[in-house]
Amino acid sequence: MMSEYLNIILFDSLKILALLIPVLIAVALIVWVDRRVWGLVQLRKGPNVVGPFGLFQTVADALKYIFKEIIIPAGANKIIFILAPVVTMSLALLAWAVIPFGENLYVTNINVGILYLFAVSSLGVYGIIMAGWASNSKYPFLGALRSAAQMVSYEVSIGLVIINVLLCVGSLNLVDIVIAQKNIWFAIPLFPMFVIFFISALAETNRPPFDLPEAEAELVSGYQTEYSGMMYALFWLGEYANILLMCALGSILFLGGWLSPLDIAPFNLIPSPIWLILKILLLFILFALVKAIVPRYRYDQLMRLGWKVFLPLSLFWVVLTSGFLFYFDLLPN
Amino acid sequence: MENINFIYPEIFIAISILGLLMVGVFKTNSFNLVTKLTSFMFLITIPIVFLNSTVSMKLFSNNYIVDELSSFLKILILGSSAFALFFTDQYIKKNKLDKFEYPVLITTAILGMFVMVSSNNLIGLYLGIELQSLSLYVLASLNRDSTKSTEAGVKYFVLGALSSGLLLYGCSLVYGFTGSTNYYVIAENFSADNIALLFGLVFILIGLAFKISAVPFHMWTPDVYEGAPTSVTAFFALAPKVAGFGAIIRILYIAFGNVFDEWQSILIFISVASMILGAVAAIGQTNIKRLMAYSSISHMGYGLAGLATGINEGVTASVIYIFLYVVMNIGSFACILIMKRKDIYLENIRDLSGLSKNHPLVAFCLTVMLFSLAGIPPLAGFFAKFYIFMAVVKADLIILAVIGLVTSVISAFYYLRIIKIMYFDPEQEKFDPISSKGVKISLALSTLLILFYFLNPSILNFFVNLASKSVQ
Amino acid sequence: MLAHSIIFYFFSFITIASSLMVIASKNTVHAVFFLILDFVSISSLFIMLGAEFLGMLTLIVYVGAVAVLFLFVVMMINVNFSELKSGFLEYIPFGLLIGLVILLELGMMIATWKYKPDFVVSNSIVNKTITNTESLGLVIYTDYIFFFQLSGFILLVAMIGAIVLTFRRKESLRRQDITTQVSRERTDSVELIEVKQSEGVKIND
Repeated sequence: MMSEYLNIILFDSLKILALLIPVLIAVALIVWVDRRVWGLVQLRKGPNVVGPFGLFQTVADALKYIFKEIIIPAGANKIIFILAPVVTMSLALLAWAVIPFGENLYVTNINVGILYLFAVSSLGVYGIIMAGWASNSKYPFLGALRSAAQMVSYEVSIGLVIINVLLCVGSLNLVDIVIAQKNIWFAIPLFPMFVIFFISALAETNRPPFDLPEAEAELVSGYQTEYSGMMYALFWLGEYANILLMCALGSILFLGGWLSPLDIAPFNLIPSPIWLILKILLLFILFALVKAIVPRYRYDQLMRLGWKVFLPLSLFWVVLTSGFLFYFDLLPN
Repeated sequence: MENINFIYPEIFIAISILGLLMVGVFKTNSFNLVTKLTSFMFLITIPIVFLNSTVSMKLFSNNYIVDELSSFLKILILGSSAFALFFTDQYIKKNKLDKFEYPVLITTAILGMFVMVSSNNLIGLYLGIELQSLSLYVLASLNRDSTKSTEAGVKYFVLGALSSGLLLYGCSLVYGFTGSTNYYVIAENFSADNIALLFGLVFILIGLAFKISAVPFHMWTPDVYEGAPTSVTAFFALAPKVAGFGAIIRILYIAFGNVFDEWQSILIFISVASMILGAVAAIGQTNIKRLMAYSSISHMGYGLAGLATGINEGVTASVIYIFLYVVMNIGSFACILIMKRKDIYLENIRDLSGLSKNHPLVAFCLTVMLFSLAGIPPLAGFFAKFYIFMAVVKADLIILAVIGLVTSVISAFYYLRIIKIMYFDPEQEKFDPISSKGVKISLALSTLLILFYFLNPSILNFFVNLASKSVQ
Repeated sequence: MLAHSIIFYFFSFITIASSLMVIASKNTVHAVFFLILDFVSISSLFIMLGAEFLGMLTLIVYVGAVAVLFLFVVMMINVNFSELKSGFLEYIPFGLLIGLVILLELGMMIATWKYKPDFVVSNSIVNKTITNTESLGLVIYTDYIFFFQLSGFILLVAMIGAIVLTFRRKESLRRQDITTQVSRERTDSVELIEVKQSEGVKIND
């Protein structure tokens, strides 16, 4: 009896570790990719000194942060101040539990997987709002308020986009969602929704051009102002883990997850996780390009885009999709 | 799906709400247009309801019932709301309440009331009550620049939310122990031995008593009636009471019909308390809206007395009572809306002095209304009370009848006091001439009905009999 | 089943403890955080009951959206806590009374439930062979479609109400109209005029 439990716990812990360590390494690498792409666009070199091609730049940065002193402001609410980056980081990692890397390659497969992902990503706002409030300082608080309003607004359109996909799948299970794309990736029939999802994901993760919560020009980097050392690094890593997660969600919903683009010999021999990673990387490079190219939005423009453009459009598309599926009798059972 | 034509009135109202909102959003300053369209919509809905009035249909797996009773009450709700919109047009404009949302919110409240009187399911009951109450909360605080109005809204909202909570708690108990929210299934599985079920019943009754402002859940009524704009108060005094009665009749006589003995005593208590408090507390009032609030509390008491009998005559008497109550209130509120000097609406009872000199006809109408509210023969109000007492006596509840008689004598005092002020107190400044057609027409119609009801009471009684049979 | 019950009691304990903390904590923001913890553990309890759809929706709707806005408001208003707490003691007996009544209720309910197990009628519509998302979907859009639509109307009314009571259009405010801004042509705003010497240009505005 007891040994059985122990076995389960041990086995699951190993599974979790096997997922988490690569994710953390990926986060470190992705920061490097981000900076390199940024550099390329601006005709610079980007980080290229530490390690081969500058690959270890992030590791070096992290080491630097670890050795710096953690400063907690005197007026801060200490518990929540410390909790905030921990919440951000752990929520970003929590969501990876349901991401399928292959038909049988996942930590857990729950039948409301997409809802779980959506729920965890919507909790991400707490890290920021806690940080902003606990810092007991004006700029972080303003940043946190901006971020909360922004994330709640764009969650609505992400939710409606997800409903579009779910209508075509007929299941909330992530594995089912990927398998439903065997014939055609949803990015093609639902292309406008893919675009909305991509842009909303930018807003949801506070990436440029929607990085108003940390707008350094007005808010001296917003909710992170009072953070230093490893706590700042945790925010920073959590943010990138969230971006990675959004890319993974995008690949699963629209780009066929682990499926190869063509089901023929050279492609389908490549193991499924590689495909998923490639797709995530593709989406991330798009994220990085957007950061380098597009100027920052004004706050009222951001709200207008979310509520007056994306919400009606995605709602209309839900009606359109369901009408189409119903009329041509394509509704999944 | 094949029976969907029986809920055409509800569907029609729902679609109209969306349409009216569209009109209001895309056309600026569209209060007049939206009000006209809303009134027009009421006029169309009445015949649609009437078309279904002779059927008895159970829809959505017995969760929604369209029968004679619900159709009768729905027509009453629609008619009274139409009047409430019709005779308040000038007041609304004068007090800058002319936002297009006003008629829309009245319409949503009506949709909620329709569901309340038709629902055969606790979920439907709750949703109907919420839809109605939410609209009413907003209407109460519509005059957002006035402290009294916002206070009324907040008070109504807080207490209303509390009562909704109690109602839901009761519903969850009943659902937990009967395994269903459907009234028929509840009736089958309800056993009086189970204390938790009885608690559920009590909680549901509390929630409903709150909605029709029966004592001891009446505290909000005077403040809300006083604080809300008079046009909204008039609406509060009319349609929601009808809907509340419909819901109470249906839940008591269908879901809890088998345990009549258990709820009879509760109903008697609520009824007696409402009658007494309504009569006694009204005496000291100086504000006519507060007075109407207490008057409505005591009238709810009489209405509930009819329901407490548990016999068919009692239900019939209650429905007749609520009908005549609505007519009398239309008249009374029309008179309140006439109380205007130098373009300012007045609310004090004392301000009525000299009405008989300026507007002898209005003074006469108000006298008729007040006499009728007091229950003086041969006006309609007398018959309403008479039927109730007949039923109560028939059910061997002599004490209830005696208390009813005594309280109606007490309440006659404060009604007569208003008449005295109108006719015998020294004249003040002149009242403004009545410019609103709506007020004139409503007042004339209601006075005529109250005056000449005694000529042929059987017309109304015939319809009500038909209606009240459907719950037996 | 041991692990199951341990987890169950764990979450139940957190639920109760955090809901106690909601009313006990002095700082309103802390109270909201405890409320969030409460929601999270309630949704965990839902999931343990096998109602994973409800559990996730609780997380998304209550924790992800409602509580965020709640927190938002609480953080922005400066409540004077000492003043708020001053009358607190007077209400304790009343509060205790209500609490006691409800506790009694619950006790009674549990007792009747325990001693009359045959009484509890189960005509559950939930089919065990399909997921609970599907079984909800099967009844919501058929038997309960009317009530479902009605709840939509309640939300609509709430929205109308919020707008009516709070929205004020400030006329003095200049608003950006993106369509006119973008569709503005050069010819609409700039005019090329030949300036004659020593005459100048007459500007007519």
